[in-house]
Amino acid sequence: MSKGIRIKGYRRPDGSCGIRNHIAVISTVACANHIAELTAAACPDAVAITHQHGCDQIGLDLDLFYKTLLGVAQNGNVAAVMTVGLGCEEISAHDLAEAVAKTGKSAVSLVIQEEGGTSESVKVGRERLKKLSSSFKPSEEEIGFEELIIGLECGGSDFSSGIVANPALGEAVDLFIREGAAVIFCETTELLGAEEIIIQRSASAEVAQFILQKMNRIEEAAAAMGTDIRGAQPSPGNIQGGLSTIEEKSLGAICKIGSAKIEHVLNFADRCTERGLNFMDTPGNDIESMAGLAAGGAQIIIFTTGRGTPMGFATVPVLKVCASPKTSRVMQENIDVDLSSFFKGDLSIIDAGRKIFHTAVRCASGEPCRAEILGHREFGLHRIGPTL
Amino acid sequence: MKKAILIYRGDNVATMIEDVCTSENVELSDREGKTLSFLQAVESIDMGHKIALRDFSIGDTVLKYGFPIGRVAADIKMGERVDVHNIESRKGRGDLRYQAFETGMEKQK
Repeated sequence: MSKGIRIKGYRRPDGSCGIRNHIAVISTVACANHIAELTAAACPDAVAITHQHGCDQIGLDLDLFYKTLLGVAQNGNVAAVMTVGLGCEEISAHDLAEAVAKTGKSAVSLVIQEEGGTSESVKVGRERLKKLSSSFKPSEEEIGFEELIIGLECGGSDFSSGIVANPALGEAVDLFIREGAAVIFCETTELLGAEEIIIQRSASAEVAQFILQKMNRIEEAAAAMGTDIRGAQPSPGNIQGGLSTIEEKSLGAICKIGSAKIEHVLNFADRCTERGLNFMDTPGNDIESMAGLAAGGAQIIIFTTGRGTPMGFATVPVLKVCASPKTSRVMQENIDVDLSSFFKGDLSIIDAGRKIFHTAVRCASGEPCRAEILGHREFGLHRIGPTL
Repeated sequence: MKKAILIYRGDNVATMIEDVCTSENVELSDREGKTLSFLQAVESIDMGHKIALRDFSIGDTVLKYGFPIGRVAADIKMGERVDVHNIESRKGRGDLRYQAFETGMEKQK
């Protein structure tokens, strides 16, 4: 199966692999964000993971919150974890750190109400972080593509996404899968209109049924609100970029899955354990979707865009692929793979796919992508219930 | 001569890959760059937007990628721009179901 492309990776105690060595400083509640950021700022390997949630969440929404944070902490790109909490929130920072430590990964916690105010907490936090960062040695080794989980994402789509960037990514996906990688495509909303393709491409009736049920949930949500999803799907930017309906956007987006059958399905933030083509149920919102992919174990995300977006992710390199001649010029510093020469007749879809593949291999081997160079470390959570 | 791409044989719209002005000729080609046919733009269409390859009446289905991308909401002539002003989505239309529900309620009265 594998032709044996080897890349530099880091083995974690639970057997998983990373292609980056981040220390994740995870805030368990919005109240702890500033202290998490100040603490992380003192350590070059640390990245603060902050969000506006963690308080007044209940039931399945709270479960998903915990599952997402734990999944992101367990991701192979994370070498060690520090959790930062306030002390009165639903998910205790100590418990989350303990759950991470159970996987063998070094993890410590900091609770503000136990340490004192902002200054004292930051002081103690920085000491703990310094100790944590010197307490482990990442074991570097050569790994193959069978150790990689590759997330697929698109955002700010336009006409060029469906004609060039997504079909080219599809060609690259075929190569990744041939090399033994696991690939996850997601964004359930952006499948509406591609039902027939989903049915044709699902490896089993169960896989097709799972995906169609998730899609139906969006139809139900629109019906429950008595509104249509136009205005958000496609977005005003999509429409300016030539996409008139969600069907048109979806039929262009689905081109990115290549020619493999959809073998496995995952709920949001489920751990991906199977090679080949996986589907994960995520919303069309890019940052929430990428949090799901990271929690699922994706060590690299390949992100096609038409209108252009600078977004990265806290602990995962996000490679930007763009075929729009205008965006590739105007937002050049944000684009890793420029496919705009297709429109001059100088690039075939197959060659465009190879270009994505080789850039991804270099990125997986340690070469920073544009979002990493520019300091993009975005993070966001997907909610399925109201804040009480 | 301005270029448009036909993604799938049988599609009834194509994507302009250059801006085109009223009355300008358009060369239709496939994704591999092979010329398929020619038509005339009857209005200006920006790069990335769709051009009608035939006349459409209200209710017709617009095909791109070989699949329906929406329903025609206002008559369209060959060579015109096909966009949100004359086609509409059939997915995620909670408003249509709400209208159907309201109409059903009226009938019951």
